[in-house]
Amino acid sequence: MAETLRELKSRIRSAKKTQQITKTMQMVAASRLKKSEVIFRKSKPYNEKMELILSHLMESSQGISHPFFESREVKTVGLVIITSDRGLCGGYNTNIINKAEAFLKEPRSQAVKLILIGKKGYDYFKRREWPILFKHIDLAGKPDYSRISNITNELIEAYLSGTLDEVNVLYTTFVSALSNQPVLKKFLNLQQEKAGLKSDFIFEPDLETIIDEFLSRQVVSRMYSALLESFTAENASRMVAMKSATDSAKEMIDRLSLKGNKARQAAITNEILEIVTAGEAMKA
Amino acid sequence: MSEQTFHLTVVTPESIFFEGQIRSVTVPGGGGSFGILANHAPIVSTLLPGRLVLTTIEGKKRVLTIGSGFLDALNNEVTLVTETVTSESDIKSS
Repeated sequence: MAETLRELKSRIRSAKKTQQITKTMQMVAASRLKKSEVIFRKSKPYNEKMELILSHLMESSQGISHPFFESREVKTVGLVIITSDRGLCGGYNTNIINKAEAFLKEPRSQAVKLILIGKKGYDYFKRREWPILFKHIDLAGKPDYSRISNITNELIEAYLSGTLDEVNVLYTTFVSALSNQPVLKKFLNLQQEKAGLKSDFIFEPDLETIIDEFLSRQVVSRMYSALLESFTAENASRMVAMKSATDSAKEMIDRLSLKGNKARQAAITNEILEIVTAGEAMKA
Repeated sequence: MSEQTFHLTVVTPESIFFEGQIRSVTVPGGGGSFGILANHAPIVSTLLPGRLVLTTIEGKKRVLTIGSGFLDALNNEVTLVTETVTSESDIKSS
């Protein structure tokens, strides 16, 4: 037998401690997931209504020029990568980073600049060859609307000043607690519809003013929604990861206990054998 | 008074604040305050921070204070998006 009884006992003890920690983390993640899912679901109608108004505006937008409508020659592509600030959340960050790598390694003539939200993404990309335009590593899983406005304003400014000609966002969609999908979405550029008017809208005070004000908010709304969804997915992913860690800790404890029991029994058998042998020897 | 009603939804990034059939609503529009009744022409308007007065189906008046935002009306479906809303105490119509 390779391991002594004492060694096995100490291994069981440490596995039990690990299990306790992962179990707690699993429960914390579960309660966070519940909370963030509620916030995410509640924010959905706003986003949907914003998209609805956008479609009404776009119907009538022929002849209106706005920087977001321009189809300019793309020289620099911005890639926003949303990751978590903390680890121990299973494949959540790995999936996003793999997808980002795949995007970055596509052959293209344009330069790519990164905008990183989340510490894990920053830790990974700070040593890579792609330039980082902005980073935000302290949202801590709590997206608040004004902070996100600041982030999107930075993006809009970069776009308007020509630092970026296209902005893509890479984030994780939350399908269910067990299934999350990293997705890449075009962010700022809008396609002007060529279709004719469906309804004759009145615009107050006038279309240009509305479009101008609306689009900057629309972008915030999209970003907010993407962040909420990512955070929800992060919590789900962490919960699942911690559950499987707890399960494998339990498995390990079971296996070690079995080994430990065998070792103990072997020791007892040995002792009895010794006594019996000694007794037999005395008799003889 | 007309009994015609229309559907109003007031949404903020945090939640749906109000949803239901109402008789009329007055909003602080970007081009001046205006009222909306049923069968209003399609309109999209900016909203300035200010007070919004709506008349519920029972004829009760409710006053909401809203932040800046947008209003969209099409086919008796009025949508109001704003970043903040708070409700003032409900006022009974006389």
